[in-house]
Amino acid sequence: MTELQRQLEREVEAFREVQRDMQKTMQAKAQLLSQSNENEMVIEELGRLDEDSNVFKLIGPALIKQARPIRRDPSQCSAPLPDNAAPGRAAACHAAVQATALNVNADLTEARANVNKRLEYIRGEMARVDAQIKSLQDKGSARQQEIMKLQKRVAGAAGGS
Amino acid sequence: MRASATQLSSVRESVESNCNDLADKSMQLQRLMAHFSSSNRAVQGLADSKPGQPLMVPLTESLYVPAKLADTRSVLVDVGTGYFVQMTTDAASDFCRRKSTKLEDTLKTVNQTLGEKRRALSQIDEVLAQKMAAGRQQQQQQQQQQPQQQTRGKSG
Repeated sequence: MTELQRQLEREVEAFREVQRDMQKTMQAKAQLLSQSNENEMVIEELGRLDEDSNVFKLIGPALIKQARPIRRDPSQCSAPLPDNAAPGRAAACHAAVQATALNVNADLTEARANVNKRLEYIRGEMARVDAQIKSLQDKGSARQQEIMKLQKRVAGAAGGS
Repeated sequence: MRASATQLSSVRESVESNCNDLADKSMQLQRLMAHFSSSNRAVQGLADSKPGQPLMVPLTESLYVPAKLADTRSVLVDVGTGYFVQMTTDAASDFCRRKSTKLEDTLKTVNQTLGEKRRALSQIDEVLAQKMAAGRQQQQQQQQQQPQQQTRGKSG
């Protein structure tokens, strides 16, 4: 076997390696696509819901209700406060009430934010995988050209001898 | 450039595997649609029954315990990726219908593509058969010519 033929074999092996990598990356991309589809569907469903819908999350085998702070009435909050309480405490209580008022329906908002975050991550991954596929394609076609060149040389050498 | 028979048969292989994949997907979609419509029926059935209605709840495949319906107005729907939403029966049934319609749309596109692929496959088969026939004819002609040459060689 001539040096040329050995070189050709090495090139072909390298090309096969690239193709194997390509297949793996394609599988990863298909998985990401199905995940992104599922998340899109979930976000669409969550978008359709009323703001006061109950949302549960499956954690292990248990359904956990997404935390929803109880809306507290400011009057209830201030009632147990004695008249001689420090004004600072009243202010703190008021701030807490405002915070909980803002957090009402945090369950649904949080669920939406969670799914959106996941989607963002998946999109990032998808871009990464796409770039990988692109570079593998370039690598593959470079290898292919190299192989064709070598094949020509091998054929030329065979014809010349 | 005209494709050779080997090239054509490798194309045929890939189109065929494509076809099989699509047929699998089509079956899967049909199963899912049936799944959603049976869910829809279950939700409707729940909406039509009254609270307090006795029923047997399966704990395992062969163990059932008696129970009574407490709530016929709301159900928990799995919307995917581990999220469940409490919905009224109407909303849940609407959910099932929406999913069904979406699946139907996808099924239509899949079936359309499948039809196209099948047509392409039969076209390839036709061309392949023609090529095979042409190849056989050529072979026969060569075989017929060879004895003639031999006889000519003897007589000469």
